Amino acid sequence: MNCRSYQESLLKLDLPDQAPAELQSHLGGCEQCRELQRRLVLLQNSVKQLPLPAALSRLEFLQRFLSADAADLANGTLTAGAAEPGAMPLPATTIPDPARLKKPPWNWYTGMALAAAMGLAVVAITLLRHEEIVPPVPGSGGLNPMIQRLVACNRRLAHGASAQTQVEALADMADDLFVEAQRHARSEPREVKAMATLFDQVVKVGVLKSAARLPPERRRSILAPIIDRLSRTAQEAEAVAIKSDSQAAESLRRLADVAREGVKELRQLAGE
Amino acid sequence: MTASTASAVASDEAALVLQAQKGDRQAFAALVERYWNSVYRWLFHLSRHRQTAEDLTQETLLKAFAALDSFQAGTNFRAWLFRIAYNGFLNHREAERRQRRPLAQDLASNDPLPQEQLENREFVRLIGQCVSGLSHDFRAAFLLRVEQELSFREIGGVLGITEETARWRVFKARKKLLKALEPYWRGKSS
Repeated sequence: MNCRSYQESLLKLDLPDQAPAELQSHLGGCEQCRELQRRLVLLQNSVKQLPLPAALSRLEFLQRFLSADAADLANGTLTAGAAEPGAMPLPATTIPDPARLKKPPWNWYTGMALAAAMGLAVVAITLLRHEEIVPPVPGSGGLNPMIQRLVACNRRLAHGASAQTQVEALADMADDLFVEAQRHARSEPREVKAMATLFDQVVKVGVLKSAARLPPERRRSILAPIIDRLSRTAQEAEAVAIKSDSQAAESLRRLADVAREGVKELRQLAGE
Repeated sequence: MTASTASAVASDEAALVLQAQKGDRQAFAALVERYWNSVYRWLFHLSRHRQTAEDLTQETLLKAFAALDSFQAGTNFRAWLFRIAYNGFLNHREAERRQRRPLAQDLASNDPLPQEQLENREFVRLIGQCVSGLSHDFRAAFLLRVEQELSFREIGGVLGITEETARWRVFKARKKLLKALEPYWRGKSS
C-alpha cells in the first residue's frame, strides 16, 4: 500500500485516532500521513465545539407536553396552552426579537419562561432522584400537583408583580437553584447539570430581562444586592467545582460563568 | 464513557422508553431532556436556522411520542429518533422548495470563505463555515458520525441509505472539509 491508500483508509475510519495496527505502523514512519491524522482528529474535536444558539422552547415544550390533551399527543400535535398560529404543530417560543419585546407579550413570555423553569426544576429533581412520582390529579391536565401550584404561582407573579418584585423573586430562584446544585455536587452530577441549565435560563431570561425593565433611577439600589449575591454564587460555584467530579464540576463552572455574565450585565444596567 | 456506564445508560433508557410506551409522560419528558440538545444541534446544523431547528425538534419529539408503539424494544432509540428528525427535515425542505423559497444552506454553500477568516484564529468558526458549505446529505452523515457517534450502519438507518453509502458520505465530507481547510493549515505552517 502507498500513502494514498493509507490516507483513504484514515478518512474511512470510524474514529481517526483509532487506526488499526497496520495503519498505525505506517503512521509511525510517515510524517505526511501523521499530519493528515492530526488534522482529522482536530477537525473531529472542533466540530463538537461548534457554537449553538440557545433553544429556549425546550422548557415551554416540556410544560406543554406534560399538560397536553392525550388525544392531541396521540396525533403528534400539541395545542394546549397559549399556542401561536404557525406551520408547525407547536410553534416555538424562543428568544423574541427586539421588536417583539416592545409589545405587550413580554410579561407573558417572562411568565412562561419562569413558570416553565420552575416546573421543569421539579420535574428534573423528581426524575433524577428516581423517587416515586406523585400521580397526576385526574382532570388536571396530567401535571404533577406540586408543579401546577408552582406554575400557577409563578404565572401570577409574572403577570401582576412589579419589575422589582420580579427581579428579586427571580434572583431568589437563582439562589435556590445554586443551593440545589451545590447539594448534589458530590453525588448526582445529572442533577447538577439540570440545575445549571435552569440557572442559566432563570438568570438570562428572567433576572436580566426583568432588570432591564426597572426604572433607570432605581436600578442601582435594587440591583446592588443581587449583583453581590450573583458574584458570591460565581465564587462559591468555582470553589465547589474544585471538589466535585469532572461532570459536576463542568456544570458548576458553567453556572459560575452564567453568574459572572449576569453580574457584568447587571452592572451595565445599573450604570456602574 | 466506560462500557459499564454506557450499559447502565442504555438500560436506564430502555426502562424510560418502556414506561413512555405505557403512556408515562414523565418518562418521555426524561427522554426529551436527554435528547433535546443533540437533536436540536443536528437539526440546527442541517437547517442553519434556529427557529426552524427548534420547530423541527419539537415536531420530532411529538411524532416520536405518538409513534412510540412502533419502536421496537432492543433497537437503538437514538437512531430511531434521528430518523424521525431527518424525515421532518426533508419534509420541511420540500415544503420550502415548493414555496420556491431558497434554502439558507443553498445560498451559503456557494459562498466563498472570506480571506480574513482564513487568517484569524477562529478555527472553530471556520470549521462551522466549512461544515455549512457541505451539501445537506454529506453534512447529515458527517455530523451523525462525529457529534452523535452513530455507527455507519445506524447512520444508514437514519438517512435511509446503505451502510456503505453512509461510510462513503462521511469519507467524502472529511475529504471536502480537509480541502476547504487547507489554506488555513498552509497559512499556519508558512
